[in-house]
Amino acid sequence: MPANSWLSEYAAFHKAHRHDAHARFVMFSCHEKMRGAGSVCGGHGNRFRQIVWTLRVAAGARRVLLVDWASPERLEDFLEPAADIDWRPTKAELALLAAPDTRTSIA
Amino acid sequence: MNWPNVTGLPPDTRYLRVTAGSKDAGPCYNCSKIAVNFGIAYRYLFRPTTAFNRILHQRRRDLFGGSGGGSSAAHVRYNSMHVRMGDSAEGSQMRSNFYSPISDVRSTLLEAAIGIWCVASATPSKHPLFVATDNAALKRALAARDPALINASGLLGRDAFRRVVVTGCVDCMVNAVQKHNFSAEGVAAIFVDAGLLAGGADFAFMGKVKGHEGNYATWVKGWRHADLSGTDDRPSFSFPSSLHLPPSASRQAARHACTRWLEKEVARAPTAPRLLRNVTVWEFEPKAAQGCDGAASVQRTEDVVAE
Repeated sequence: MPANSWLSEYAAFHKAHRHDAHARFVMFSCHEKMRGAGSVCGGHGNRFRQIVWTLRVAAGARRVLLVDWASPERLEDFLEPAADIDWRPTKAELALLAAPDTRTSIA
Repeated sequence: MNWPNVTGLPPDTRYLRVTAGSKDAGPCYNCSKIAVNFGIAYRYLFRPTTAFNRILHQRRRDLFGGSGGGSSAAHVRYNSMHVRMGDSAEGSQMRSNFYSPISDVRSTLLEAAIGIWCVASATPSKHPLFVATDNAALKRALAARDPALINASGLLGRDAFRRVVVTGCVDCMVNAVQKHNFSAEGVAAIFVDAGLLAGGADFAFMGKVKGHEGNYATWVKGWRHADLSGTDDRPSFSFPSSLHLPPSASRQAARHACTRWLEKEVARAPTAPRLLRNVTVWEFEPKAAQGCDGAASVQRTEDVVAE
């Protein structure tokens, strides 16, 4: 598979399912306090490499990628989606994600 | 509930939160055949917001000069370098909150100084070299352009950092490895540093560990990735983290280390990127007279700036 053909294919999937009521999501998260991860998200370079890994997880598991990077800044204050993969959580999702973390995580 | 085996089917929860995860090419469920190129993936996902782009362009003008306004303004060309010395290197302000002390030393201050001096020497004289580093002591010396602050003036000369430009705080560590309570200015500095590094005509970096480049340098290289075709036409260069020089190394030893690196970069041609994109023809002459920085090893027969 060419280096970026899966990206185009996944971008189409992401666009089609981003607001699907039955969609499943996988999201990279960094909050000041997170269950299972303390407050350690790693340096920024580390995080971006993890996000690209999460993108592969999303493509492999057919899930919609979100990036929930909230500490020490909101990522959206600096970067925005470059192409068809809009990874930004909605306001409703942000409210949900800001709640105490009781959902599944990779420890 | 955890997902202990990430190569297996993920739990059937609607929002699956990844709070750590592997690096970009690590194993995961049903993705062994998904070839990842970090630069392509990064550029597919991210670009600076319009507002942040304005900040970056303004900072470029403040640091390097140039005219005009907006993102189309003409800017002075510069090269860039990231120096990752390590969380526990001399001069680091990293304060670990781990139970076991971190052992992460990639370069000594002297090795970092030699790397910066070498890259600056290979940079055309009219181009500044923007440097970002994780090391507080090095940053202080670079900001003052005074190698004596890290005891390197005897080895490299007092003007070794004269082309170096830095920005942001001094006596600080710019990256949120463990810490979340950054000031707004400190947070912006992380992205400003990365954006300015990415904007360099050529980008050099130090900080490889066991053959693997630092994550910050990988991020910058991703940001530099020009398009989604898989071809990275904006070259990056890795200067060795460790030069195995004794603390009492001579100036000749430093020149030799620099020369060896330049020779190696030349040997990477023609398939490897050139050391300096703005130099269209250049050749290496090991026995050439030393330049004003004492390390000049590159003879430029034509110097074309293609803005």
